Amino acid sequence: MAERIKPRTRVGGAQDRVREARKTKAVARTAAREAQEFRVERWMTMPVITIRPRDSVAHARAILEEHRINQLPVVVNRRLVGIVTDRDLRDAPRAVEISAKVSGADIAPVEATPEQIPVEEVMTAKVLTLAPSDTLQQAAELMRRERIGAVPIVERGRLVGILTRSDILGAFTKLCR
Amino acid sequence: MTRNPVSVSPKDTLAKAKTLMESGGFRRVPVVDNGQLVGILTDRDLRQHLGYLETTRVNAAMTASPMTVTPHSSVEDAARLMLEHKIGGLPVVEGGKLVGIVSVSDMLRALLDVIQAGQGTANG
Repeated sequence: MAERIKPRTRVGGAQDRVREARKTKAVARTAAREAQEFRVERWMTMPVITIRPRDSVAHARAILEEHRINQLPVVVNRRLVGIVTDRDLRDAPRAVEISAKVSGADIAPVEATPEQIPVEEVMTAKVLTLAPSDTLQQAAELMRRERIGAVPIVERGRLVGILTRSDILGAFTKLCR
Repeated sequence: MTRNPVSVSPKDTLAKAKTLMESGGFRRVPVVDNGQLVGILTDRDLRQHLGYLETTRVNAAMTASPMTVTPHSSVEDAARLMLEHKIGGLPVVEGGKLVGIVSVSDMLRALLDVIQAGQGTANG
């Protein structure tokens, strides 16, 4: 962390003052670089694997399986509109059937197949996100408080990365050397 | 870590394991036989046997002889194992017996506690 070094005042001490000023600047640069090390943008995963709202639950499941990930941000162009997790996708046919019953649909509820259900019907639209300049600590606290495993990173409304629990764990193990 | 974790037997059906995992909200479960850890079963294993859950036994789908840590292993070693092998949790064994299971979340929680405790004393 940056220390405030007071230039010593001495008779004919101009050279000392210059040296001290240079040292202060170097310490400040190191502190800034270190602060950078704790930012989300340093450790987030890019590019992000995403899905569109009208893509099917079946397609989403296949992507999660292939890439060994647990969640998919839902985007329109690069604008984040929602997120689906492996649990949302696993519970999908049941969730769709229940909402048909609730809405009082006249037809007997038939369990829709995963190929027929668009992810927008099971996604969470109010996504918890962070900015690239937020810290790892803020991310870890958010994940613990909200019991989530990943946070999409957004800049000016556009998805720029994703930070997972593993990313944070990896960051801490490297930083705590 | 979580002590005395829920476990399944190699002879249980995948359907039974799935119900257990869903109700408990976990993505993996240790497999124990005669008090010994013999494998680990994950939700990925379940997905690979979709449609055959009632007729498949745990021992046919689990990873046998899984990676483990001990209660004295460092958080750093556990973290490195999980990150290198892309797994979310590790069984904890002592004297050949399963004593717990530790997940990525557990470790993050522990790290946060340490950081926040440090900040408490710095500001207090």
